[in-house]
Amino acid sequence: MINPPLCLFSGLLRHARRRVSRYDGRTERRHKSYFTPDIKTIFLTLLLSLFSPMLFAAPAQNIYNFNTVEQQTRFDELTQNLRCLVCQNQTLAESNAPLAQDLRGQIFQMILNQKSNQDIKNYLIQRYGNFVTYTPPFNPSTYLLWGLPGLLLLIGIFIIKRLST
Amino acid sequence: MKIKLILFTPIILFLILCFFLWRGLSLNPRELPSPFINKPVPRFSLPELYHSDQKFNSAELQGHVSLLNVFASWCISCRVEHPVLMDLKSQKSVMIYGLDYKDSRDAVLKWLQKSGNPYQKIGFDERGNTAINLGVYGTPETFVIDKQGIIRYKYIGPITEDVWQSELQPEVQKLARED
Repeated sequence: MINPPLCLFSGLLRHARRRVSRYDGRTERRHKSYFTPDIKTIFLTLLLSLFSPMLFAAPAQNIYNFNTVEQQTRFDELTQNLRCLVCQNQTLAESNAPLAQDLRGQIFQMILNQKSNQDIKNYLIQRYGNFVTYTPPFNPSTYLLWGLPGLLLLIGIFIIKRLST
Repeated sequence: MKIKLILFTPIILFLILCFFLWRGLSLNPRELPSPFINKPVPRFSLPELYHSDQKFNSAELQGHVSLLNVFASWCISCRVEHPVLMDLKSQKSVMIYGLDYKDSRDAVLKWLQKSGNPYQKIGFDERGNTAINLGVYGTPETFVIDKQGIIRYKYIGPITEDVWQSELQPEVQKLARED
């Protein structure tokens, strides 16, 4: 796993080692007191730290005991692909809102009761609307949403053709 | 001339995009359309708050226009709308039923005693399961229910005097005229 602080540290070490060997050990003391990481290391570290929140984005809690690994996997998959309605930028897996906890409990129960993934999704859509899923359905109100990328592509091709002739 | 128009398409598309993004700024992401609009109230049977041996059934919401207000004693914005509900009760504008969401009986009884009880009947939904079946995701939420027991309107957030006059009252009056 990539860890930004560790990366900076290893960058520093590598840098220090190079300095020491270049000066053949004679000026070791001068460089031991301060060595500055090169610009590449700094940039790399900053770049990687952009991604560090992902490392900590683990499920909020996991106190459910399933009978099989398959059930556990299904639970993880479902909760990571359903939206929490209270904290709308979080999934049901991440959110610690009381409602998310209750809904996780419902999903747990339904998995134990042999309900299929589609059943569970339908259960939530029936109550909370399509907003709980991250994939909008394909119906008259979303034709534009789904069709726009293709439409824009066609317009682009048309424009390029017109300009090149 | 034709070529020039084509050259302008990116900026036109950009402006259209800007318009939609600008529209998005004034939309409230909390106001989700309820999938229950024009559907019957999901069946429930809850213990009544004041008489735990009695039940409050969804069937009791038939026969008259009513509001079903989801509230809790721990909910701060419910206190904001509470005086408005009390006014509605004293003016006999509409029947108000309550759904007490994930609350403790002692706390809610104390609160209602102190500030008044605007509700005809209160269902005590201790674990919040009935609320989930109603698609509730926060308090307060208010459903407007017609004479057939069908949900016709949902308001999310505290009802203010303004909200009542501009949104809920017209709806209630319209439903009252229906058979």
